[in-house]
Amino acid sequence: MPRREQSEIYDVNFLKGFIRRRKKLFFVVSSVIFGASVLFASFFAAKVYVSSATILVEGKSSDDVRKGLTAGHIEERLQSITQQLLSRDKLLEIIRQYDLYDTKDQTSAENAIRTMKENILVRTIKADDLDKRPSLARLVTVAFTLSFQGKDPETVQKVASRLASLYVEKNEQVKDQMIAQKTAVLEQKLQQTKEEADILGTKLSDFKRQNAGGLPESIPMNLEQIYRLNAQLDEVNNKINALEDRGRSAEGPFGASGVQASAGSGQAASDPWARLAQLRMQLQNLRARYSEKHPDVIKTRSEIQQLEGILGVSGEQGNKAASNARESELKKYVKQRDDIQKRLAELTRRNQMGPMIQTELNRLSADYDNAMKQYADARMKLSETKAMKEIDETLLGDRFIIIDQPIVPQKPDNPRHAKILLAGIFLSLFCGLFASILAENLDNSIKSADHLQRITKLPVLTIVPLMKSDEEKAASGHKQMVRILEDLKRRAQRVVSKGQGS
Amino acid sequence: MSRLKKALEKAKKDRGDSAVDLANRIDPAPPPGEGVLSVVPQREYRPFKPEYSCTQVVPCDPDALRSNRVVAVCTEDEANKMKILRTQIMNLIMEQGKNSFLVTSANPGEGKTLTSINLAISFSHQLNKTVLLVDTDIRKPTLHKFFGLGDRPGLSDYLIGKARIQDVLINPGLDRFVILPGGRPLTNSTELLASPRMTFLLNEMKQRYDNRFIIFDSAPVLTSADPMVLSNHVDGILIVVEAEKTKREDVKKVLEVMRDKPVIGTVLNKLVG
Repeated sequence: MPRREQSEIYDVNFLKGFIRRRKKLFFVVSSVIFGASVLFASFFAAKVYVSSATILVEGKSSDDVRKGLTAGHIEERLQSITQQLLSRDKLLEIIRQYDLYDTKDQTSAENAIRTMKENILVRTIKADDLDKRPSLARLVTVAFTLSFQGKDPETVQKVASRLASLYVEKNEQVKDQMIAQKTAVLEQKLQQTKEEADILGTKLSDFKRQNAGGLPESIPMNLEQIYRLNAQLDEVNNKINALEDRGRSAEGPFGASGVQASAGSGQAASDPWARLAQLRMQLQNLRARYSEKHPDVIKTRSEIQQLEGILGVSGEQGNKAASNARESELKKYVKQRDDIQKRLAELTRRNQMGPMIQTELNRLSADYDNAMKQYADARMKLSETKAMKEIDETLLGDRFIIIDQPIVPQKPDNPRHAKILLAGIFLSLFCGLFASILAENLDNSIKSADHLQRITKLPVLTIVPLMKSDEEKAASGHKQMVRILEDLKRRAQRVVSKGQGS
Repeated sequence: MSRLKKALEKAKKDRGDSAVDLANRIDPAPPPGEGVLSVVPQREYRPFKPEYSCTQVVPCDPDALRSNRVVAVCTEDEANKMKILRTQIMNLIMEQGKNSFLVTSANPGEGKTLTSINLAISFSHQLNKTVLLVDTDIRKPTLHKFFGLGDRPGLSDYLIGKARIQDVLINPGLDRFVILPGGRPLTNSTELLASPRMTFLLNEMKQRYDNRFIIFDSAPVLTSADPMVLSNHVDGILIVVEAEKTKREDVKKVLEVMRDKPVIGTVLNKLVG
């Protein structure tokens, strides 16, 4: 047989032998340890009494307005109240009031507060919201239990009652504080939005004032004015031209007004000055073509003289006076033309600036509208909050109602028992195994023929198995149990027979 | 094959060897007037039945033997273990013409006496040999208890001169098997066993009959000097070791004490499983 197989057989035998040899020790040690843990859990582990109050949170989902504040805030409020109640001063006050723990010095006070915190248990009870609409179908707290655990049942009940009433009181305070805080915040926001809206309104009105003519609504008016000014400009230009022409005709004996005269004979007929200028120009033309004796020349010259006689202009003196009058009139019209041109340029510029002013105006208007909207929102929220405050004040809001008052616990309740027992089981198994292995290691007795032969280096002549005598066989196992039962039966029969005999 | 083995085989063939049969067969008392040492051996290969003249025949209760785990009356399997041991010892000792050995152990309670008895009975099953089992643990003699015998004179009484040898030898009702009980418990056992009277007795027992085999049940080595004294007179020493009880150190001490003695081997006793 290969060495490996021998080794395996040896190991299996060793394991079997180990179990057989140490099972009693294992069971004894395990039983003792487990028994000790049971005893410890039953008698020595601190007995803890728990007293609980159930507090209902009422009116949590009356309407959508209230839901925004209350339903989502109950746990938050519970948390807040718990934190406030578990403050150092409050706990110390309760501890000293009921003489719960030792608080003589700083360290013990700290320990007492920590212990107190550990012994206060708040557990929320969740249920489906009463409002079954899908959007609001979620779990909200409708009640919570407040427990306190300690060694003395009566004290535990008193402390639990005190804590429950403190929770109810604190809830009202916290609720008021929350509304007050919210109101303050909203008021502040309202003020802020109002200031912003005012600033933007001022900006808008200033802008409008600065760009009064360039505003989009002024464009049609501007166009009409431009049209009108253009007409005026034409008229003024005509007048200027006429004056200039007249000046030119007056300057020479025939002037250069022949063209003008021929061009506007109708006008010359009505205006003797124009007719004069026209005739002078005509004479000049005739002289160029004909001699002085040509009848047309003679005729035209006599007509000129006739006209000059009529007009009182004779020679150069008359021409000078007329020129002065013309120039002053010309200056007046030129100035008028310049004014009209300036106004036209201004109006054109304004019309060109129109889109830019429009954009800026839009921006300012949008800012102003936004600010006004925020202001309106803030004002609405504030009024809602004030309305909620009024509702709460009329006791329609969230209320904490103690539906189960804490009672004096009759039986100790210690969830640690199970843990101790579980730990006891594991510890007993471990100790049993440890003791068995230790005993096996410390036991240096001879356990096999190979072992004996290795030590003695002598042949093991035979191996004699353990033989039990009849008495030993009878004393083992179920036979022993049967014997004990029979013995008990006999004794019982004897007692019965004795009783009957007496 | 040895002569003894041949005899054994022949005897088995003739009549069928059964431990139970032998145990239950109680021979009639030998005629009075003859000493135990005058048992006349018959040298033929047929069942040898000595007639005891001086040796007292005290038939033992088979139930007492069974309850005391004497394998001769127990199961065949248990008896076979003793046959193996017997064969091994025969190979080691008797082949050399020697006829005595000592059974001892490191500590009390390891099974010396029972091993001695079972081995002796196993030897007695050989048809041409007689066996004498001597309880030399005269501080705490226990041999007689295994046979259900009450307190009676034994080796110690003989050594202090209070009894004759024929008064202390007992045949417990088994063929070819005689026991010498320890007698009254004495504390000076080592001195008595080292006395000339004991030396004389030993020589007489060993040399008087060549077909007799003598087994000495001794006190433990680590608690008494008796085995040391006896070891000078025996041809072999068998050390009984109790499984899962006898410590390695104790076995080593025994071997150290018996360093120069004729230790022939060990028996691992009470092995479980």
